[in-house]
Amino acid sequence: MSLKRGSVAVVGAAESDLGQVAPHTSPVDLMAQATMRALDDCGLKLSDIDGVFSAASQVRTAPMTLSEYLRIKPRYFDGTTIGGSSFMTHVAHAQAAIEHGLCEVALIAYGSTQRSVSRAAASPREPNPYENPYRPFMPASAYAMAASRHMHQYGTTREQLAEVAVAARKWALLNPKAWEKEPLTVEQVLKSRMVSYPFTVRDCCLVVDGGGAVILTSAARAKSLKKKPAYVLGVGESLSHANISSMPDLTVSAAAVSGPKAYQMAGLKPSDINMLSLYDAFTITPLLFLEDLGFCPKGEGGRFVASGAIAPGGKLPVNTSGGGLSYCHPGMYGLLVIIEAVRQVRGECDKRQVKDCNVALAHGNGGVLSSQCTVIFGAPSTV
Amino acid sequence: MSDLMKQSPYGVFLDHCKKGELAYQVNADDGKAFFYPRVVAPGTGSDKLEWRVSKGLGTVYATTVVYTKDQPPHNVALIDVDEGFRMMSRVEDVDPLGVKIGMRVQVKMHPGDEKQPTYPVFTPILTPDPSPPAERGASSSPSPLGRRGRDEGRGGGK
Repeated sequence: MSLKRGSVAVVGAAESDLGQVAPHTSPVDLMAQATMRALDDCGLKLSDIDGVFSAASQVRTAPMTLSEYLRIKPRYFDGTTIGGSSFMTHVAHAQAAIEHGLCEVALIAYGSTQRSVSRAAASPREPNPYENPYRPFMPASAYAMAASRHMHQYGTTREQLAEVAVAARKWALLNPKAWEKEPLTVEQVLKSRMVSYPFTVRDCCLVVDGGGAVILTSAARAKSLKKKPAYVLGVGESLSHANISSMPDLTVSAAAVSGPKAYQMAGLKPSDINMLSLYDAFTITPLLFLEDLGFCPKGEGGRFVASGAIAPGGKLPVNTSGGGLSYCHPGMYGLLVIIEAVRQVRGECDKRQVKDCNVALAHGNGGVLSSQCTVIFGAPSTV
Repeated sequence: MSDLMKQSPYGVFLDHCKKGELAYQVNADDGKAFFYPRVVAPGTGSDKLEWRVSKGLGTVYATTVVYTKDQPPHNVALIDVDEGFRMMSRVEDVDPLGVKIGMRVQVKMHPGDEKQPTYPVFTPILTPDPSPPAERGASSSPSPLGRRGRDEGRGGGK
């Protein structure tokens, strides 16, 4: 049995407050704020929610803690935690639950105060006697090593990686909610403080507070709600490893597995996608995903982004929000990756709106390139 | 099945480290090496495991340099050890930015300290390489310091 194309839709989507929130704000405060905004977005009430999906590094039992806070008793819940792609997985799992009648209105929520409490406090490192002695700066060092392989095998340059950050910044300047407000050049990226070679701090995602929520329901119920539904056309999930030393090939991510699964379910191919929302934890990640999801040949990612393809005015709009590099990255950023894709197919993106955006792909990455999950959203015209 | 009431995989590994040995396991059913040490063979679940001591030779598969406040930058690398397994480590005795993919390296034990038990690190092998494996020898650079990357000399991290 497999999931059905278009059987469910995202009907409500919202961020919490983003950036640097007031002292003593909790991650669950942010989840609850985003939840009420997402409900308002679709016109449903708290009492309509009967499925809760959540994951957060600061809230170990997220579905339980959030349900208590909101005082709801969901019929169905799922706390799958596989890093930043957890929420793409939640979409897939919510779709399965809704299709089987286990719940009808699913909430997916996330919150983090990692800027306020520090990244080390928000995501303490797990003990690993085979890696910790070497003091990698995780997760940056794992992605940096993936970049080292890409540079070695394909001649990718630091300048090409920097183009990813520059494109993200150009998009961010079109998004009033973006954290970064100033232009950025390749030169500035290269000359910034080195973190884990070849990455400077500008090759790395932001460390900010924030959260988000989306509401999913059946296609039948979605039609009667406030806004245009963003139908789930395809989903694909994949795990390849947990620790970077166990990743089979550092230049090929499991997006090469999750992407084709999502395309197959959607009956679509890369050329049918109007806009990409790719988890950009580091400048190497969109580059790998462009290759692994079929938008350029393996090894060509660097040259592809350096051509200006993914920046405003380019042939393939990527991370129109400004991404984790320039818009917002509150730890596990995947839910915000989904929200931007939803808004694009709804046509709500104002200055950064992609013209005739009927199909958007949201791709989540978790751990150290470890979990890869893809969701394809479509406007009503696609179902 | 290994008896976890008596010893753990890491405990055995650490005992070898204390003797100056880099230990790894092989699945006796198919002869395949794996790392990190486990109680069962990955993929098959077999409990027919053999501990072996590596010759300690390997090739840098991937590399980075970590910059931390108030400390000199240090290398972190993934090493493909000749017996057929990959591990995270650090290449010492060379400028951390001079650690290159394809570089041949040899294990040595870092003594550790009060908080950190002894652990394996690597050091570059100066020519001649005692035994470059055929499959890796074909692609590795003749230079003892490995292939010079195209970013050589840039991004010194300041």
